[in-house]
Amino acid sequence: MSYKFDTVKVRGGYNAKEHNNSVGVPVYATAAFDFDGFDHFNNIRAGAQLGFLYSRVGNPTVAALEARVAQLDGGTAALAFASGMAALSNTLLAVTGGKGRILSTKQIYGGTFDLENDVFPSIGIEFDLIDHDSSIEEWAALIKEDTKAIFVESISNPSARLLDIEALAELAHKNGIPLVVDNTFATPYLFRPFEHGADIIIYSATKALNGHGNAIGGIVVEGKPFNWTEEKFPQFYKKHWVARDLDNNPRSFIEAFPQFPFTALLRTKYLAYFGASLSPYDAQLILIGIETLSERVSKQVANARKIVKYLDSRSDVVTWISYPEHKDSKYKALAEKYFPKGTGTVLTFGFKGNDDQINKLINSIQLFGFQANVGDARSLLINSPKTTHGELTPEELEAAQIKPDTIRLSLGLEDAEDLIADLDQAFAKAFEE
Amino acid sequence: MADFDTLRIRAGYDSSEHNYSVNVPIYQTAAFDLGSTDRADRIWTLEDDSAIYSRVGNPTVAVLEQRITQLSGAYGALALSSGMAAISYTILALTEYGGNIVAANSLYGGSEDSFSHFFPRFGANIKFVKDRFDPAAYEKEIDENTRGIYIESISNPNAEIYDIEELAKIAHKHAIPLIVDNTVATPYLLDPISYGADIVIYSATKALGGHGNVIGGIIVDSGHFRYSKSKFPQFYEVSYKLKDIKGNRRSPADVDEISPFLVHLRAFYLEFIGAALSPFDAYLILQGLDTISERVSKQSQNAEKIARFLEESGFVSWVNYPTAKSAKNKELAEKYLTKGFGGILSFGFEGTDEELNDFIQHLNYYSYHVNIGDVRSLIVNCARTTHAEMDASHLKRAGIAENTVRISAGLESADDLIFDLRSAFSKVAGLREIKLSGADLNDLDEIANLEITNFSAEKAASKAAFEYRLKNFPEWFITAKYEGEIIGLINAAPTDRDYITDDVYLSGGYYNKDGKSLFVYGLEVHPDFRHKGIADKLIRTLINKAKEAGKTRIALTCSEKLIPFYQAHGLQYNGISKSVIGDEASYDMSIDLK
Repeated sequence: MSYKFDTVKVRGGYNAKEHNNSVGVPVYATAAFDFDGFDHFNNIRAGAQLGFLYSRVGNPTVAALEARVAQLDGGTAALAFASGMAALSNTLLAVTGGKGRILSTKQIYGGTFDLENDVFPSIGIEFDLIDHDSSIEEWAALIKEDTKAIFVESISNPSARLLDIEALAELAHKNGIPLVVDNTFATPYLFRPFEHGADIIIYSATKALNGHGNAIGGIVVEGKPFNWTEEKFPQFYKKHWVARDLDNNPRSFIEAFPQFPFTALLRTKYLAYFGASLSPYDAQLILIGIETLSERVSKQVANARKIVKYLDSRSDVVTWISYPEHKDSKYKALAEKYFPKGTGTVLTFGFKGNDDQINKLINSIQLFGFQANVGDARSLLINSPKTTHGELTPEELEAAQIKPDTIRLSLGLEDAEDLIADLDQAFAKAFEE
Repeated sequence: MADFDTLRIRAGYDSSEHNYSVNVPIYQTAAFDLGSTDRADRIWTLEDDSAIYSRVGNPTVAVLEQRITQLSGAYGALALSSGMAAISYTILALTEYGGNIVAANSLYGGSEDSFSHFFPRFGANIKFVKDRFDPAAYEKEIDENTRGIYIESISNPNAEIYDIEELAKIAHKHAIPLIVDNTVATPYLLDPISYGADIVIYSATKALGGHGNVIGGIIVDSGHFRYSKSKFPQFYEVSYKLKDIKGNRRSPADVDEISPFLVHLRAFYLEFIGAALSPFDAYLILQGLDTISERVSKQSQNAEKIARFLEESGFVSWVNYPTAKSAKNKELAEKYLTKGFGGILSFGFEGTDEELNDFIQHLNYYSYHVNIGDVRSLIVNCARTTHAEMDASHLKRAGIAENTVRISAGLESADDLIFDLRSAFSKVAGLREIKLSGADLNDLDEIANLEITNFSAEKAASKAAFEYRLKNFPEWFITAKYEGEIIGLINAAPTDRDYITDDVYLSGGYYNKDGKSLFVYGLEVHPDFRHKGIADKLIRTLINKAKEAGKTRIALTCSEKLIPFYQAHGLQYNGISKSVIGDEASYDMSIDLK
């Protein structure tokens, strides 16, 4: 029986009976697990029996988180990592198998952008970056023979741009490649990418999924298995000794784990050997955060809408506002189609002031935190071009369409009137002589 | 500088910077307030080393890094979310643009498999040497693309020692670093940097943390090695990411000429491949470090005693420990390991797979799981678990015999640990003389006699009862025979009932040949043959037989003192039984078979 979203977020993936009837998910702070004889070990290893060997590759607390997020997204399996960047990089490495191209946009998160420029090319993975607002024909034209995936953000960082996910999924599938969606800003509460054709979802759990800004973590969710062809994705068909059956016959990941071959490959090779394991303690913090996901994000969306309205009234200091629901946004139609509950908790605006006045604005803010994060229960404000997107050169910033006067807000759970009053006084101080 | 025992408790932490908290606080936060835009600029250009975001830097994690740095007499360290992250980042960062690493041909299973089959996909090739004990064999493999020599200071699982000083000389002659995985030794037993090692790697999960409650890894840079521009151009490439306060692009070497390696690891690998250690886990490792000297020294003593016992016991075919008779490089062990030889040893088990399984089951004070360095003693059959990633040819190359059993000695009493091994070996040896077989009506007298020997007249089953059972369901009798004589018995009946009441002892009405459950009448062993593992063998054999026959449940009643015995075999305790035969209460136990 499948429960509804708000039930899953507090109960999914956990059965108290299997954990000495503890109501809260216990923190299994242990490196290893006892085996009840060699058969027990062998059964777990071969996937014939559910169980845990060693916390680097699987832990009961972490497993509850994985199962809960998989259920929230309607996926078949999920795998947690030590950070969102670990989730992202391990996914792209596994999809390409160490060789091939990824098609993405010029307007994605600064860290990702740098990964594409600096790290991946040196190990044989190339990126083709397209302008965010390109037509589907332009996207199609950039798919090459060795392109292994399309990778996009469902709501982009920092400018909250949207894409036609269904059209991109159709394009990807027509070309025999998966659509990978970073759904960090939206969370499964606002948007469920599998329902629109995505094949793999990535989260930085550090952000709104957890919502308390107290843990670094990432999660990869696999939808109903993508049709990995042997020709393009031989990594799923190679027979591995580690995936051998009970009779010691080596198996491929497709044979051994037909329900979730991607998660199995990620866990057995990438998590096992690049070792970006999530701490069970942090997994519990994220589980606790998820228990209030709907309540938090809906309040944060309401706050974002109020702040947008306020900024609209301040055309004396605000040059532009980027939020998909805003009246000037070119993403209004996509927002209505894909995001009926709201388009997220992050917005950017242009501040009508010189560098000095931007500094003054930031230094005068009292309530908003000045820090590099989003999705926290506390509101945050940052000048993206010089901080979160500080890895980008001025030319790259221009290509990413991040204007130098950009201020990013991540709305928290405070009273909206207090947030508006704080912006009000800081705007005034920024222009004081 | 202070001594090791002071540093492991105090280094890297100044309580006045942390609200005078005596213990290191757990900074459980993703981000840190930036303060002013000026301060943000300074932090972003690395002029101020305050934390921005916990993926790339956190004060709790920083204390751990500093403490290990000082314990290692090193320049700097980087903590990561696992030992494999430390290994993979080191190998990949050094071999960018198609380099290779020359490595010992016997490494921890995860290293073996990733070096052979996984890292090469990302351009990092590993050349395993032909003879890991011979320094010249390493030099022979070095070519123009070699970017490092990689060894374990005490190898896993065979506890071998290699000549670190000689290997450092060879590495430096070829302008490449020596990388030492010092996990088994820990900085307490061995300081590889003082013998010329350049990069030291730890799985902090093991003896460094010591409590088996955390997964973590650490990379240490001595600061002595000069990474040349020709061999390591990646450390000299300018990046906008490393810009200075004026906006000029810098390379890792520009940022820190002493350890561009660590700058590169933090700025690119940790930042983008994201294997960040949780601050909570960093705290647990720091707590473990407080007792590293006491732990590792006691574990080394225990391991040495166990190794000596095994060698003298005659139960095993060989023993690997640095002080064992057959150990190679004994003089090197004495040179490098002055405070003890580590907690790991391995031995060759003499017997069948089934006997090995029995042996492990008989142990009480050794946990059966894949870890080492824990305060609890651990035992594992390597070829089929920790080194299960390796196929037969790899195992052979690494010198890991099929019958290898690894022990990681914990902090229990050495006497208990040795007693436990001795009794488990004795049970296995004793069991060799015991043959299991079925039973038929010819055995009726012997079985009835055994019953009278073991039970009071009130509780013993009558000869007539055994006759009925042997006529109707002899297939559910398993007997243990010594020199042809029955000295142990388990017998059961197929039934549809879930629980047992006294009528089953008195009548046959419960019996159904096709019933999905089995009810166990009794399990008994002649007094002269008890505590040899015969009862274990009988119940285990019955459970396996029931599974094969498609039965779904086994139920029995037992006295209070036998509850733990049956629990150890997977039966669940279901409370006081309705059965009242005999003078003491009995308890329902059962196991669901899948």
